[in-house]
Amino acid sequence: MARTAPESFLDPRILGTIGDLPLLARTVVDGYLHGLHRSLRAGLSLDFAEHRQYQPGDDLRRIDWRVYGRTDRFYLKTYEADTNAEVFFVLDASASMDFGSESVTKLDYGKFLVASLAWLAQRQGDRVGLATVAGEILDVVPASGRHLDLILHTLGRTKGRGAGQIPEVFERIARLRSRSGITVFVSDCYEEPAVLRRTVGALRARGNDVLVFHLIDPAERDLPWTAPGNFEDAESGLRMPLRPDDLRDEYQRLFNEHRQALVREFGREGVEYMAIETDTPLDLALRTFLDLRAMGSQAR
Amino acid sequence: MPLTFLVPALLAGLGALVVPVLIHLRRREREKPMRFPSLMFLARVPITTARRRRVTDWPLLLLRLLILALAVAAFARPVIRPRPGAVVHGARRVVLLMDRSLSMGHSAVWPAAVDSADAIIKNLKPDDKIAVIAFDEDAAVLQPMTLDHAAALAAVHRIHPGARGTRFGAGLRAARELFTRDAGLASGEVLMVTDLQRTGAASVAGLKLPPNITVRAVNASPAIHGNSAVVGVDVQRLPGGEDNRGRLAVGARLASTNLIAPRTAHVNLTINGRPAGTRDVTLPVNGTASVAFDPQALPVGEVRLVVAADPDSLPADDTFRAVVPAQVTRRIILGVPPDIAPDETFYLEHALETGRDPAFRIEQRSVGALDAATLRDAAIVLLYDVAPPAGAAGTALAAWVHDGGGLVVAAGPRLGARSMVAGYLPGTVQGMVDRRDDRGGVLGVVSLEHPVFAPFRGAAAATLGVARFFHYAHVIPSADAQVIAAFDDASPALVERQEGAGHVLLTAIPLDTTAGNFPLQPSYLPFLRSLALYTAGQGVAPLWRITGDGWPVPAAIHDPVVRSPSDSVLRIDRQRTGGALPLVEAGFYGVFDGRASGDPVTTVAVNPPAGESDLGQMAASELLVGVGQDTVTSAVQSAATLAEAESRQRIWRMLLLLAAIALVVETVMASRGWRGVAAKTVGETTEGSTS
Repeated sequence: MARTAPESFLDPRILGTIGDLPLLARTVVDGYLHGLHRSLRAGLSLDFAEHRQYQPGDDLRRIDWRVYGRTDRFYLKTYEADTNAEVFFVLDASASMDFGSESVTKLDYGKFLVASLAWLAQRQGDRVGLATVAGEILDVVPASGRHLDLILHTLGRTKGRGAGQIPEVFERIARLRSRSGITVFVSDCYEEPAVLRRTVGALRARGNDVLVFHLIDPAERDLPWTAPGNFEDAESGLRMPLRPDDLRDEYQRLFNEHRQALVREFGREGVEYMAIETDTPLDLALRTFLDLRAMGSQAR
Repeated sequence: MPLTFLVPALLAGLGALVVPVLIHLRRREREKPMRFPSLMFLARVPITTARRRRVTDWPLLLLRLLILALAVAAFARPVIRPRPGAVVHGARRVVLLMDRSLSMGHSAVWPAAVDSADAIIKNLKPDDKIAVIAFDEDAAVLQPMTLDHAAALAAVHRIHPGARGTRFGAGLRAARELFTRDAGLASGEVLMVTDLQRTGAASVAGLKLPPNITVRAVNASPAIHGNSAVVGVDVQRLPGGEDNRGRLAVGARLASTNLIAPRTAHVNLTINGRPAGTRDVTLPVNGTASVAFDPQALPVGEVRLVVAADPDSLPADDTFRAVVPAQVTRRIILGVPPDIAPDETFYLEHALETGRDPAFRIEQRSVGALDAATLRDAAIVLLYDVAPPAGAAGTALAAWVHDGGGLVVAAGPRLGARSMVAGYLPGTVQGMVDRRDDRGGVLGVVSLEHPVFAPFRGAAAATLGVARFFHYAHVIPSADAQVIAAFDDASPALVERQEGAGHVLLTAIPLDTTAGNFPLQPSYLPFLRSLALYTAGQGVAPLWRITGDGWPVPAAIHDPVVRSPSDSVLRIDRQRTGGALPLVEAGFYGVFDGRASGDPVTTVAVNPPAGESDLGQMAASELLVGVGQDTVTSAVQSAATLAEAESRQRIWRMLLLLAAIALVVETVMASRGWRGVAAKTVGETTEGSTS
């Protein structure tokens, strides 16, 4: 019987107290998998897949010397394990993500999520890569089976800044991807749903499976303030003197419409969309990812 | 009674009133904004924005502003100041300052000044007090503060313009003294009747007056008047004349200011009371002119000159006086060594005998032959490369020096070869310095402040450095000697010592051409003459002096009695006056010894200061430029005055009390009712926290 991991391992409030991101990811994944009682594959497959020509930088130990003896050219042997899925994470690190009414901000939650998923993917034998974006591409870690540490390190030093401008950034990311795989986009999706659909659709057109995690802070959902005050846009710095009591209902209506529009638009494009509130445990996200991963494997 | 402040600078604090208003209006801008991920949806809502930039609580704001204003006003120490000129008990206290300087003697000015003073006094109320002070370069209280206006009027009519200059500061200081000496006169009004002559303003700088004294100038000369004056004479003795006594050439300088047009003036010269020439001179509108009279036979003794131009509206400066001292020939006893060469003192003697007033006559003597009779009436004794004598001659010389005689010892190779012993000398000679190997020495350090080197002050100092010296005596100055000059190797060149009333100088400067080229240099003659004059204690007497100066009566006049130009006789008490005669009148002061009869021993010519003839005026507002407030004087007011001042400053306490009451009201207002309900905020945002 499958059961979920103890909630304490996945509760964002608990995770927020863990400063070490690798430890956090390992805690989340191990806890989650332990709850699943599901055995993973023992390791990478060593079945031969094909030869490819040597390129500078390749490991010399992998040169097939027999082929060299016959053809006088360098060829490398590639194995089945190398052809596993490539999971590329895109983390929105814009200033709007650096907001949290609870113990963790959306950016923190996004980091936990990406770290955990990357750890999980690594254990699955996938190659993982990362791009952090905020109006521009901040950092890129190319997809590799050995880049998990680099991803975790990059996540650890990522700070929220700048504006989102998701479409422009995604065009560049699409050009970065040399191979199809899974693209996991973690963002608060402050963009018009139709625009996001077209943006993510470009990746879909290249044969990528796209999974969008829409992070929502409870305060964004509820607009709980009662006293009048100056509201400042985290990205643009624009300030508006507002009376929240007077506009809460209308705001919540618009916010829900936005979520529904995202579901609709991403659904049309075949993009997996999942709205996650930052006060919820991570297991739901992990399960969604594994499901998608399983579907991707079957499809491939 | 106008309200003023003791510390008005603190009123700048009223600018702080803007602060609460700005805080009120900008509060929403300054308060920490609620950071929200995106206003994407909020911007679409037809929102009700919070009102801003509008005062929402006028009563509270005004109350807070009032508290601030009251506190600022209290700390600025408001004080009710009496009206200018008004006094506490309603009566005026006026000090009338009458300018009696020479310029007030203008025919159009003095009558107007007296009329102005009359009008001031007659306009006083019966309980007004007035004092009368006359001033020129000094001030005199002619009438202390009184209710007797007739006495003040009489005092004014006793004043006449004099021959002295203008110093507004002297009058104002006397007025201040009058006010502050009496505690009851701590406030009042100074009315200065004057022609506002610009030259008088210099004395005002630095003057401080109590803050409750007002000064007003009454201009007795509203129009600009032209004036011309004789401002100086030039006198030159010429050779020839009757009995070969010489002739006297006299010239005069005249100056004119603000004349309507150039005019011709007759200028007359009088010598010892006799007319000696007349010249016509054309005076420019603004400028100077000079006249030269025909040379006249030089009379015996002192010569009294009077140069008078046609009198104009200010006649006091149209006459100029000078005294040419009697031609005197003084003896210089030149002590020489027995082995002196025939022409060794050629340059020295000729240089000393050049010049007049006084002229010097050289008497060459053996030092051993000096005695009291020989030394009597000698100007100086100059020992040329010979030591002071011993024995009776030495004793006579020492006594003569001690009584005021002047001794110069010129050290040369003879003195350098032997020791020289005399207690009164300013040093000893120890050998000679040979500078032939380095092109000779020059004078390195010269004390130009010393009277001996007075002719070389300024550009002429360079001429001293030209002379070169190949041998000179090495002088070791005594402990109490003053080194006046030194060679460039720091060896003393001229040292001096005071011996009793006399001066003794020892010089190593070679005065002949065997050891240097000094006698061939242009500095030789002025140096020697200046050295002789200084050692003899005789300076060049000026031909005239200025009113306001003090004339040091010569010590030779044992019991000085002076007859002034106004023919009054006064005996000078040396103990009380320091032996100086104050010169207050223009004219000739005859100085007698013992009795004021017969011919005077000497005569002093006194003229008004030349600046007094320039009638240029300043604006009345310039009078008090540079005058400060005398806080010290204010501090020493009497207890009654302080109590009165305290009562006038009591307002600050009331203001502070009102501020305290308003503060209590504000506290109550701000904490009660709807104002006391604080806005409630739900949710604290967590920003920038990363794991």
